[in-house]
Amino acid sequence: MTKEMFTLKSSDGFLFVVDEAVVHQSVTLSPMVQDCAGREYPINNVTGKILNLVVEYCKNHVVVDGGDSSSSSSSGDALKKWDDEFITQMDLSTVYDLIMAANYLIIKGLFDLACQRVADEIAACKDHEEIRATLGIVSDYTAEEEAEVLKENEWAFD
Amino acid sequence: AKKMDRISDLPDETVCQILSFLPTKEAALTSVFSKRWRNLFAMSPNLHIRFVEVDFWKPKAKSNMSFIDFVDRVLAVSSDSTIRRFSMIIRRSVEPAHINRWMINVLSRGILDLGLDTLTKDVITMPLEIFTCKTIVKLKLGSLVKFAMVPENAYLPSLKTLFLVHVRFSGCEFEALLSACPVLEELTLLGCPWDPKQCLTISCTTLERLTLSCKGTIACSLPWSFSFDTPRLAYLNYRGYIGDEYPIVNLHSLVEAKLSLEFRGSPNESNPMNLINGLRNVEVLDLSSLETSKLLFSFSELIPLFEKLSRVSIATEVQHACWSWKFLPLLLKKSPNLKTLVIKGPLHFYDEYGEESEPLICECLSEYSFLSSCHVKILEIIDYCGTKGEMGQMKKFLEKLPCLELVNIHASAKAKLTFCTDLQVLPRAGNIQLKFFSFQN
Repeated sequence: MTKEMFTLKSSDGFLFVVDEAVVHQSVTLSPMVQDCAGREYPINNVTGKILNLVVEYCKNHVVVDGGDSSSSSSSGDALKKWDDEFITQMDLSTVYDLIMAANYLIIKGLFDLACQRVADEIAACKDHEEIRATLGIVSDYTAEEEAEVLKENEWAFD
Repeated sequence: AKKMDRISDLPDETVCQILSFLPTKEAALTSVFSKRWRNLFAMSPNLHIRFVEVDFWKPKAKSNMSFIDFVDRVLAVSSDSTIRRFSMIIRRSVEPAHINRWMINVLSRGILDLGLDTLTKDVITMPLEIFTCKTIVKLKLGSLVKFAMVPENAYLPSLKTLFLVHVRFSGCEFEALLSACPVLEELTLLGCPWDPKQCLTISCTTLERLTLSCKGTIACSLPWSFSFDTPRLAYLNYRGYIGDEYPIVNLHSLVEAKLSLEFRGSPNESNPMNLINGLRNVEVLDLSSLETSKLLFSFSELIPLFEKLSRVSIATEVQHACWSWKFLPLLLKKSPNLKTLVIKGPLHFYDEYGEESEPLICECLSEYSFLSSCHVKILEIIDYCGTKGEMGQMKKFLEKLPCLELVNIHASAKAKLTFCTDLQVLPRAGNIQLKFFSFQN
């Protein structure tokens, strides 16, 4: 029995042919299984570069997620290791794009993985100045407002 | 080059999700970035609050106050939003009234997972709101927490996991609490002080996993007897002093049991007949504490036929491990379908100089004839050293076990370097595989 294949088209025109197991990992795309076999399905807000990463993630998660709940701990460890390497090698800018794509496509595992990466980046900073520098955020507080914020969350800034 | 602020393109909800992976104190640092960020950290569906650090240079009262103000503010600012997970670890002295106030707030906001871990001076009495929370799925509480009277309308329709450390119940509040949990699957009770005149009755038709640690530092704060009325229980982890009696033992569905039991007073005071008999259907048994072997050996006549037992682990020790070796022949005799035997500890005695010491194990096992009727296929040795005595033991096992197919040997830190080759040259049937695992600390 041949597997049904589906074609996803990124915003910049790249095509990705994937099977049903990959499609089902996205809550947004899952319904298309009924209608879109053989036709191109456009994903208008995800570029080819990011969609490639999404597909890579989903392909790697098919074997374990589709299997029974008693998967051995060693295969679970191997998958976790793959996830860690996958997300760590990306720069933050790509991670943000991945967050937005996983949010739109509703792929919880990928969304959590990418969010955790950003959280880890924040946790690695030693104080709020370093976090601000890492994330590149520009303040719009006045000096008085900033002092107010530092006071109201005094315990956190100690 | 200045980093581009890409994170500001993400919607508030997504930024909250990211912050929810951080401890709340850390996430709060983002409040100073810009107006948009001022309260985002507080809107997170997960709040993890730790108040542990001891800063000797700061006046205690002041830092306590700023902590209390901080938590009050976080809960006030996010007042409309849902809190899914709330965990609080406190090692500084915070008055119970504050903790109660926070609990009451959080319980009304769709909480799924609530954890309170305190070591405050004063006992915290759980607010009544905890007994009628419709959403809570997982509850973890400890220590110096007390349950007030369980009200008539107590009902926790979603609670599946309950984890209690040093939580005090009086009268029949514990039983009342269990009755209020219609879907409870997992229960853990560690070091809870019980009424010594009581029978601790764990009665729950839905319970699948139970961990009970009943050691206590003072023998009188242990119940004198225990009842396990848990027909769906599949996993039991039971440690501590054995009770005097076990009036009800309903463990029909038990698959795996891990026991670490010892005598409290004199063996004559205990009648664990129902307990030992109640374990007869298990498939996996972990007896990895010496005291357990000693206890079971002293109740030899009560040991039932373990028809379904497929895997058993026993522990031995460097010195005076007679009990485990004395018990082993009986255990194997009562386990006709055993497939895997795990021995944790050295296979032979030795003292600190590595010398064999008296009495020898070999005396306990006499001629090893009990091995010939044991159909074990897999033997696992944990903490193998490779002494002469152990080699002798291994030789016997390899010779006498008729169905042996695989031996997994995990080396101890003290193992001789040559133990692999030494074992390989032992005479054995061609189809017995030996696998070696190096020491991992």
